[in-house]
Amino acid sequence: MKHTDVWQPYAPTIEEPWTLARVAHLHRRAGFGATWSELQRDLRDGPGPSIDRFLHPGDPDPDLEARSRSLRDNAESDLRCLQAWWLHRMLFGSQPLREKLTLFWHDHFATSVRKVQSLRSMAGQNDLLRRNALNRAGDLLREIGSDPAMLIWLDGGQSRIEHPNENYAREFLELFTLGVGNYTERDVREAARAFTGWKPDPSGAPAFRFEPGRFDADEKTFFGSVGRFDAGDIVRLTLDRPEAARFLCRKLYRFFISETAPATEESIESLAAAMRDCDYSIEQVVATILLSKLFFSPIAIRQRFLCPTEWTIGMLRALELAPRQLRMLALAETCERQGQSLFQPPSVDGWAWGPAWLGSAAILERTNFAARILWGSAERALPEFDPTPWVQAKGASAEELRSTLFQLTLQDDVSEDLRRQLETEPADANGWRRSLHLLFSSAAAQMG
Amino acid sequence: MDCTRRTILRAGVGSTLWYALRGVATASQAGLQASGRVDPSGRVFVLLQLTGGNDGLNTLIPYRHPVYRAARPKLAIPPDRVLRLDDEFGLHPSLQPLMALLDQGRLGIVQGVGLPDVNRSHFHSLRIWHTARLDSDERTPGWLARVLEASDSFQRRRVAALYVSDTSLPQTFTGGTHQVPSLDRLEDFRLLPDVPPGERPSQAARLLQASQSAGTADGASPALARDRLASAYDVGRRFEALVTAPNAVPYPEDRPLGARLRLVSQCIRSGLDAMVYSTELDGFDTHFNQNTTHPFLLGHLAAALGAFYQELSASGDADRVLTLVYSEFGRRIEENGSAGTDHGTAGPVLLCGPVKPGVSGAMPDLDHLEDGDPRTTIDFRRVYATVLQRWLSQESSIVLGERFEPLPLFS
Repeated sequence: MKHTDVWQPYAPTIEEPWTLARVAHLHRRAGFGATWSELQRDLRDGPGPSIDRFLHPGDPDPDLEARSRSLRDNAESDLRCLQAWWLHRMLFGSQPLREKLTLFWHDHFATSVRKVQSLRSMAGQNDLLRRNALNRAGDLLREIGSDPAMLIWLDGGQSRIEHPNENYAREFLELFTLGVGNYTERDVREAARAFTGWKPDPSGAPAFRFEPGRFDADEKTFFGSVGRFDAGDIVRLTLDRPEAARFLCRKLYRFFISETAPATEESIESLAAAMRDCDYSIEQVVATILLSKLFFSPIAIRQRFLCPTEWTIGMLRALELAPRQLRMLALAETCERQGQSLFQPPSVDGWAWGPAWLGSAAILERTNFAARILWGSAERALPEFDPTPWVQAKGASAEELRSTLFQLTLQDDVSEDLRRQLETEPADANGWRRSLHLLFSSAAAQMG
Repeated sequence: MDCTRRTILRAGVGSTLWYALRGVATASQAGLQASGRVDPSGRVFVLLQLTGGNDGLNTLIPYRHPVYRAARPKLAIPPDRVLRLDDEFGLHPSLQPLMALLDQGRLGIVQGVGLPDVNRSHFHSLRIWHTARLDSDERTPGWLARVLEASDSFQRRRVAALYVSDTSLPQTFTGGTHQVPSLDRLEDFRLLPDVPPGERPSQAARLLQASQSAGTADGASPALARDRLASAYDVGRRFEALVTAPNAVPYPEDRPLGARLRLVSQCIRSGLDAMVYSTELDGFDTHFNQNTTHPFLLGHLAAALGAFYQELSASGDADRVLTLVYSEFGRRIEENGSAGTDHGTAGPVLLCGPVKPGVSGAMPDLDHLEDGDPRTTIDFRRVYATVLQRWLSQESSIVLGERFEPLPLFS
């Protein structure tokens, strides 16, 4: 893949050295945060191997997969269990970038169990997104068009030749590929005709089969082309539009670079050109982003508002809580109370992201959950966190330990006032709990 | 339809019952004033969004119109089932609880309200409704955010506005300097409930100190994040203690709006100084099998609004609370092949409270459809202008950027 100036690769220099702040930033964006030892390892190894571990993580860890399978067993009858199953993968999984992009696509193709009413279909869609998370966007779009959860969610499974249902066609163009303003009402109607053909299969779990008799095989006009188009043709013709690559790149930019300042036209144009050159390979585009100088610049670092799963899992990874110290169901609950109920995005536009995560009830839940983890909660069967052994492994003197905590949680980006406030805390279990609580509840810790 | 109701509707004059209730309200208000509540006569505005695009044609129904009946072989409501308002229009049968509000002179319906230009995208339409700007993007301040910023009387309040829903704060309230708290349930607003009681007050104090100290500024966190946190920790600490009014009537529980309006009612009756509340009911995007969802949504809406005003009139607050109910668009007149309706254009908005009762505005002409849809007859910004000028006493052109003629919605 070619790199224009905007996306030239990062290499450490005197002015832009490989620092803990950059290591932690990589882990927050490409994954869900890091432990102290992961941060130390990557600081030592440098950017090449650190980024490569995200891009080429190797095969999934068999132990993790076994535990994940056992959590999945209950997941098809209870939403909380399904959420817990996914959060467990984010927290302990060995392929964090794939999980991160699965979350990106879940938000992009935002499908909610509220309407789908089948956890099996929701889990199936999640598998589809994970499997295709780094593939070509065209593959993903073709597969999602015949996904049972999506056929229920946007009514494609009920569409008929006479009066085709426009729901999927409209969102396909508006939210999945081009963005509002880049298509006409006629394109919506013609695409809706091409997306017909599905029939609900009444046997057991939600399933649909394609019946040629229900497909509108007549000629359609879509973006000026005329033909007997089917769903695959619509995907192809849509991705031929230059707006499609721009639209997806803008969204990836907001996810990986910045939510606080808009992307320059040049950065989007150049990334979109690269995306078209590699036939919409998500893996290659994401690699370009993660390897870039821009990604490791102040334009990107801590310029996103952490979403609830990122903030929650980031905190738990920093505290190195073992599975037995946690209840995954309590994690699923807090993410929902913070405003991100997995498998139930608020609408087909996904979550609002950015400062929208910081609603007052959500902020209170964050600080309350941090307290629940640190002091324990009888109601939720969470044990009290004993910071002593964890802290003692990180330094000798109280001063040294405090400095490590500042490095671990905020890479030392701690305001003078908060620093002074925390210096008065005693170096005992409760003092560390209070300090950690204030650090995770600080404004800087909401940014990633 | 009986003569009395028709007279009310056409003349826009309240019934005897309406005046009687107003009399009761005034008397009990005086009593409450004496009990020392905060500004018991202060006006309150409640904004209620029906998310997804409510089917206006099956809400205020042109039940005799041949175009309506022909376009909806499965979904047209038969004339004998509508709650007739006159010889042309009737309400959906699920809206029965609204008929009581109408009788009390507490319900106005404005027909044909929509965006000046057709926009069938949920998100783009909502953005325009939320910002009252046709050229808005995601950074444009919301129309109520601009109201909060423009008025000193809002800025002096402890909690000037409140958003009640489990979804994120809508653009209506963002982009201004004022942080609007959001919650779905009262119990969401507790600070550190799990911290051991001996530790709780001191840790809460530390949290406030850390969030409010002037030097909290650090390079990484934008001012917005700091302001949001400081406001949440501060409001969260004292909110539950402020909302003390017990509930007096049952609210419907089959969908979430009942509980949300119950909370708004509690806040109002507790004398919270918020002047603006906003909430929503989702689920109106009825592309498929509309008859299995839409009647229940309307039924819930009507029962929730009915309970809300019943409770507010019992406490003497009903005449200081104006509720505006809107949706991002109506739906196509022609039903689709899956017994649903696709995105359309204009629809009716409802106004509850001390309004001129009955139907007003102009019904879109169903004989002259544009692209298969009725045309908007009233720019939604005229409704906003009316609320701003006549209810919130704000110069509407400052907020809306241009002058819109208010509608005669108040007596």
